[in-house]
Amino acid sequence: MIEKTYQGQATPGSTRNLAKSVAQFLRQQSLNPDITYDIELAITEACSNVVLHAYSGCESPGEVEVTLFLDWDKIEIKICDWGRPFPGPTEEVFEFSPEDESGRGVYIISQLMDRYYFETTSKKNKLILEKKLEENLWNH
Amino acid sequence: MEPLNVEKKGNVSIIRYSGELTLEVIESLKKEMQDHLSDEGTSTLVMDLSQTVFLDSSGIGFLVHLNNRKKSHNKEFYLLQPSPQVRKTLSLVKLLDFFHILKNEEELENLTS
Repeated sequence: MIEKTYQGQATPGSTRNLAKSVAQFLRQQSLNPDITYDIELAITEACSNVVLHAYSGCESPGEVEVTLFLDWDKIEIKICDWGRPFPGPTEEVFEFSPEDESGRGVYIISQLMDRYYFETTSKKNKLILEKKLEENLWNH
Repeated sequence: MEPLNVEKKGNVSIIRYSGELTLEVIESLKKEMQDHLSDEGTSTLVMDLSQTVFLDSSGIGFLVHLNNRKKSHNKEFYLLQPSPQVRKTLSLVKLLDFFHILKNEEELENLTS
């Protein structure tokens, strides 16, 4: 298993770069570009929620940490922050009309990942994303 | 943020933008586009997404915002040639059929002629 950790400030630019860094690493490992895009998008959505909600109202941006655990048949990504805990999505998260201008982030994560769940321990909030990787997704 | 390129053809404004549409750029884009959104002489706004390589939920919100705004003024909003990445994100949230889409420059020509 490969484990890699990326850290940055909870700003839109910095967190977008974290997601790009993970995607670049996965491309280097020859993971299929479509799946890499899905993972990059899910991390971007998770990090945007940290920026917009976990640290909203704070005087300065807090920290975000993205850790990936990569096996050839699955990937797990942990997005951590030390801001306001998110209790997890309710069913309303997945109810929106086409005209709604926000609120689709967690829904997108749910569509892209096999499993996702939220945890808070000792003031550290974690969103864990899991995705199975079929053998044919590796371009070796 | 990547630069915006704005073309005017009659009463159609065409915004060509080649960067990502994410939380990182949305506020700047809204400011940059303010003049074109409030342009009374423009009845139709076209956003060229052929070179947009990444779209997230904030970018979707931005496109929905443009669509809502134009619709509320009885004006039209089109997406031009959305890239495969844009199509993928829009289809994830079931919005691919919500927007009016111009498949190619020929369809844009028909709109402006």
